[in-house]
Amino acid sequence: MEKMVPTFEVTNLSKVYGKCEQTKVKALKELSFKIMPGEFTAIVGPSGSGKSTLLNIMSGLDYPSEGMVHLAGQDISHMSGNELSDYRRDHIGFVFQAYNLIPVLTVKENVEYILQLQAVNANQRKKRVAQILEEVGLAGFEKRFPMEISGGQKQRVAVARAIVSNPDIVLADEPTANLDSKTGVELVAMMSKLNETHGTTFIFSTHDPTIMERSKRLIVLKDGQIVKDQ
Amino acid sequence: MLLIKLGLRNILRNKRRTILAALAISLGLTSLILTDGIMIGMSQSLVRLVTSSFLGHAQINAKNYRDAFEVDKSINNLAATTASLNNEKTIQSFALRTQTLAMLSSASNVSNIVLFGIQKEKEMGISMIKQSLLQGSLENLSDQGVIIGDQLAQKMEIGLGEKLIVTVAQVGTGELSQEMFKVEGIFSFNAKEMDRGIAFISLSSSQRLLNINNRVHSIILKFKNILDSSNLKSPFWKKYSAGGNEALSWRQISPGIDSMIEMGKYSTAIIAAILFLIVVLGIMNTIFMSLHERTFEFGVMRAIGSRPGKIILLILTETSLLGIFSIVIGVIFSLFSGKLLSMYGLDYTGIELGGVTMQEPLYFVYETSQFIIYPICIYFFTLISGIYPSIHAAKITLVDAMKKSL
Ligand SMILES: Nc1ncnc2c1ncn2[C@@H]1O[C@H](COP(=O)(O)OP(=O)(O)OP(=O)(O)O)[C@@H](O)[C@H]1O
Ligand SMILES: [Mg+2]
Repeated sequence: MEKMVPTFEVTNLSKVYGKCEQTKVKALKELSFKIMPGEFTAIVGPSGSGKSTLLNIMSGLDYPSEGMVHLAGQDISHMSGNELSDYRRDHIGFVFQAYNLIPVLTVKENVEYILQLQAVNANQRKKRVAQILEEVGLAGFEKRFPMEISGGQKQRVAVARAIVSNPDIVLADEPTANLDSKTGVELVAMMSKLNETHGTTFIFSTHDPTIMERSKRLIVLKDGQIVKDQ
Repeated sequence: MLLIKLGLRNILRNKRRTILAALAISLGLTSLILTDGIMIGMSQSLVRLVTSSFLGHAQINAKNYRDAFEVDKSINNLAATTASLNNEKTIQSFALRTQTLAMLSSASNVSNIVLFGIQKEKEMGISMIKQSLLQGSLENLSDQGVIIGDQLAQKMEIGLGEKLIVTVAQVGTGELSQEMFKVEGIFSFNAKEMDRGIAFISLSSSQRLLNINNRVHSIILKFKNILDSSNLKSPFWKKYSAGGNEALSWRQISPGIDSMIEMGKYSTAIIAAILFLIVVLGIMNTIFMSLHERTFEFGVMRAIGSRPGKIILLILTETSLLGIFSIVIGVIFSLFSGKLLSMYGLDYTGIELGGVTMQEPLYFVYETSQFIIYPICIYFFTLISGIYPSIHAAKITLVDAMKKSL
């Protein structure tokens, strides 16, 4: 391991949606688990089992009702809005199900955007963006706008953007849901390769059995609880 | 740099919406500038009308003379006053007048009027009596000649060359003095009261009729620059309001016109306020519409680590660019339509406004300030209209924003 990647640690995490008794939904129930550096983990489970809720809280998009989430030793469950913004910027890479990209920016600019947020200098930005686009197989597409590329290519751009800033962890909520299964498998294969070459930790959720097979660790959720972890 | 690039591309994204919004803003700006220019044009033309037709830019009278126009209140120290006026750099010319109530009788009718004694050469440079003559001429006004209004002529059933009798009460004794005059001119000022109610004879005849020697009731002044006559703070007024006299600007002589001009400014302000409101609401609506479509996009930007302030800045940059774009169009529109309006004007001639009849079309008057102040105001109002939507967009709950994709 070239880089000292700290553990992601989730302790007694609960999430309750809704305030009044009748409409309350317990989406997560006292989850605890650790993610070790360099892991390639899939979170699976039926619809409504709490996968998105868990990923949202781990990424600091949402607050837990109870419990703690630590990344790099920092407790993110009590951070303020701007702290969370900076936390996401510096530690987390994102891939969403769809509409991942900023439509008015080109492929290259989309990937570069996060480096600009981190105030990386122009030379370095150029180098890193070119290198990562090469790695995800999008060299030659730099000047295209998101409208002008396919769904699979868009997700590759999203992965490139997620990884270009060397985050501690890349979180992907159903990154393949909008792709056909062949393209989906290709995307996961590519993520897996990046996981090996860069040592970046990946956590993603999925419904797709062929994709589950490619993960090294599988956390199965059901009704907000972990029923299997292997 | 990144902000400007993003902002520019975003406003060019939906070109039709941007163009419509920009048109609305620029039309607002154009209406503002045109309203202002026309109002200035109207004020100037009213002032010109009032002052040039008959009143002059200013008058000097005996103190309190204007309360009742009593004939025995003639100007004090006339010789010294006129000598001093001759040396005033701001004064272009002046004319002396007498003024008295008189009775005119023709073969068929009798009329009570105000009779002015005038210096015919000097009046030419000051009032529009000469220009208002329908028949006869001012130059040829003889010692026994009278000039009357067309409506008065009609009422008296009298025409050019016919005679009438003028009766006045002499100053001091109050004795009636009568003389026969020949109608040597007929004028029309296009204002009822004047065309029916006043007449002119030569200054010397009037002084003879009234038995006041060389005394006069008014000195009518014309300034080189009309703005000097509007400036009530100038020391000129104090200087000539001495020794029992008083000097009054047209603004004091015709307060009605002054307040009309003030009202004009009010209406410009009201129109401006309404236009600004329309601009603000229109833009807010446009921005909200576009933000609604872009919720997910802002969600992504926030998720990957843009702070809320960055989103606010981005939207304000966009509104800012929209504002600048609109101002450029608006200024071009205004220059163009202002040019047309200053060439051709709006024809209101013949319409009576507060007792005076418009003699010329309303022209647009350019002022540099119109093209600075209004665009700046519009720019800030555009920017202000972006603030609320931008804060709204920055405050989105991320989880909800991301759900929009499902
Ligand atoms: N904002 C919300 N308000 C109330 N309940 C919610 C909210 N978001 C999610 N839930 C509920 O929480 C539970 C978990 O939802 P979550 O979206 O995490 O499931 P998921 O595993 O991601 O499902 P899918 O596979 O369909 O994406 C569900 O029962 C859902 O109805
Ligand atoms: Mg989900």
